[in-house]
Amino acid sequence: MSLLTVNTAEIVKKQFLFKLKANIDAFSSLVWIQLLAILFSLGGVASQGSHSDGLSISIKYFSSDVVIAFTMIWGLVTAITITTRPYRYFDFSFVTNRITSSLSNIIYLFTASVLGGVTAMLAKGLLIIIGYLFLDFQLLDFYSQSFHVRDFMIGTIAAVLYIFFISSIGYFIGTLVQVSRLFIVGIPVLFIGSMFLDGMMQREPMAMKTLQFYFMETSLFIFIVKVFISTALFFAASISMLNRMEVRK
Amino acid sequence: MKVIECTDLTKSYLRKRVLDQLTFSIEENKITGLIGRNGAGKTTLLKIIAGYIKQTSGEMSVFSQKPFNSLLVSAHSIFVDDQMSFPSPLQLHEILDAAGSFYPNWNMPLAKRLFDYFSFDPKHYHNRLSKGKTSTFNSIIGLAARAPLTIFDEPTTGMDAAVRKDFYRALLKDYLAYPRTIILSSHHLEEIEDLLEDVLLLKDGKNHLHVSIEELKEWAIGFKGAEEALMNWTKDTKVYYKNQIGRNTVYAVVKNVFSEQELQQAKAENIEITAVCPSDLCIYLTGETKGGIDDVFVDR
Amino acid sequence: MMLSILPVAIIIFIVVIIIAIIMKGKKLVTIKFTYWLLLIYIGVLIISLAAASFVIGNSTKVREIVLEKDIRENRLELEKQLSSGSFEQMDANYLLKQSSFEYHQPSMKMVISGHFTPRIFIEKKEQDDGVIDAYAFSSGLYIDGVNFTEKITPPTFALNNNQFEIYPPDNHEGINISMMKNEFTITQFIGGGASFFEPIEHNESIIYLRLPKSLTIQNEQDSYFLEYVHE
Repeated sequence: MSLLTVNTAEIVKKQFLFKLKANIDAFSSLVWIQLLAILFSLGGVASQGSHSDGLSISIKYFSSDVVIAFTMIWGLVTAITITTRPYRYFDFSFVTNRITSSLSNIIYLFTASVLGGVTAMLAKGLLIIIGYLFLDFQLLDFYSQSFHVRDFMIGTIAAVLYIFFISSIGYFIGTLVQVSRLFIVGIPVLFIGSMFLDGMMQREPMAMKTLQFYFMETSLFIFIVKVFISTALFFAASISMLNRMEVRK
Repeated sequence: MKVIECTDLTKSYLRKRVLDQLTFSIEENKITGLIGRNGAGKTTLLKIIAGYIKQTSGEMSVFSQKPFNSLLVSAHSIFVDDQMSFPSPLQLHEILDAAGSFYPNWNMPLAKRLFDYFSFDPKHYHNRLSKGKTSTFNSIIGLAARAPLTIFDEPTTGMDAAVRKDFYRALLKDYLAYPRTIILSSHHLEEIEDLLEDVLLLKDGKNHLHVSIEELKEWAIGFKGAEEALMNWTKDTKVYYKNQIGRNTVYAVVKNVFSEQELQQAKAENIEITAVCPSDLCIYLTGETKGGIDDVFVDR
Repeated sequence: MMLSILPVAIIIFIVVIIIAIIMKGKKLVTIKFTYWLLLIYIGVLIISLAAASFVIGNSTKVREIVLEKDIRENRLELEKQLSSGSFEQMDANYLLKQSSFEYHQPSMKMVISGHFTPRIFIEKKEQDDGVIDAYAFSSGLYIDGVNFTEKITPPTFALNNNQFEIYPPDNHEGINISMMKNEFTITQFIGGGASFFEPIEHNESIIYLRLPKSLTIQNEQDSYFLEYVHE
């Protein structure tokens, strides 16, 4: 019997479509998490107050910051989930190798990030409407600025990238845990330990500096490059570890 | 063409050697039965062939490739056992669709007909099936995929006798219609004797015997008679099994190196000659001692 | 109208969820349910977005945005104008309150109660017309550059016996404002975000009194710094 040639890209595509259907639960939890985040946002996501000259002013700010943050956590959890044994094993019931398995996972995570990021940004509209209709938001004063599509686009791209980046971290953490259970304890210990160390040495925590590297970047282009490279590194590291792992032991 | 070539394959877990310098090869388009005791290394071997786990040392070549991480091997093979897992949100009919998308030779009409024959509900979920139903469903997938290398690792676990019969029959019919290389590991050799072409017998992780089913049927012969009489006959050949039946009657299974005349002679000496079915033979061949369970109950 | 669709859509959504929760117990249509959930959610989001921009566009509270430097400039301008007494050119926007009192006596005391230290300009009129005009000015209240001046309550003027009293603005409720802000994913690149440095620009009111020519204030030394305006 002659062997058919096997096209890696074909397999990755089939796996990706398979995973969209197989992981539909992740999308229902996305909806719930965002609804929960909207609920939490109804009291305002930030506030500012001042008391001067007998005039006491309190400002409440509304935005979908909380929704984006919750979606980032969702991305992390989703990524960790698909590195666990049951999910890795599913691929081996059909046609796969470890590389296609990870590649289709990455494409799936990217798709999920796009969906999560776009819905998170759009959630602002829902927040406004719920407040307006049900919560007596007459106090809500709006900027006379019109809705800038360009700003929204930038925000959405950034949100999607943040979620995708965090999901790559989740994938990496999940992979480490698969390599050795010790990491479940090890990673938090490492994290907290490094903060202690930095505290003792009286310098800014590494974690802070790392966060600033991404959050303080004001050029969208450079931000995209930073996230792209970091995400690629995390995924590459994960793939190389998963590539040697036995399944169905 | 040799689909599987295995040379000095060893797999150790910590100190235990599950596979020990195993060497064999399997030809294209044959049904081979993989037989052995629990723990003989059958499942481990099959998982190495499927590319799920790696050997500790030695060579394993499937379709001339190393199976671990080979997309070629994965695309041309399927591994069926009761542990085959599918994502829980998928209904049974969706799993069939998924299988169809991955396997180029997938035959959906066959899958659907088997599916209906065994009374599956398309909207049911895989993790809700009973043990027997799970094995049946997994086996349907294994059959309909028509993968050039199809591996069944104890596929009939939990199946009732009627379903087992149906499964073997279906396997044979589809194999004849669409030949492929099949490896079937089972504890019920007596049920699949008529199905197999070759038998690979594993003992202690080694290749104990690899012969065709016909050879296996003729491999050994059973002598029953007086102990002294038997002694004569059995001294020149390997004794696989010996058991005391009556006060002076012994039953022994020995390698059949005798000609027709010699056997007639034995009959003349009041020794009963019986054929040894492959199933029993394999039990004797892989037994630890020459006796049987009865020895446990011998009064001490 | 468009907005009336929305409550219906949200109610449908909630109904679907309730049905779904019931059905999830039976695990009948779990997959289809998730597809529907996702679709409806995205639908609701898009409708909300359209409706929200509609609501914003229709809002009567459309406010102007003023740059920080402009706010400062306006304040300085106001103070300059008041101190030079060019009263008539006063921009009516800056006027918070105006009261007039009849007073014919030659002198009065001035009392300012509460923690309130406004600048007080005093202009003497050309004649003794027996009327005290009291004005309260403010350069406005700006939050994040948005003009919220109308929320300011002015100070209160009162004239009792020979005491002219100025009370601080009655603001016990406080001003509560809700505002939309851009998400951190936007502000990171566009700016105007996390730095909450002085988003509130508010300076205290300036009191301007026009007194009859010969009216004197008795307790001038009592730590009120009165500025007399000279033409």
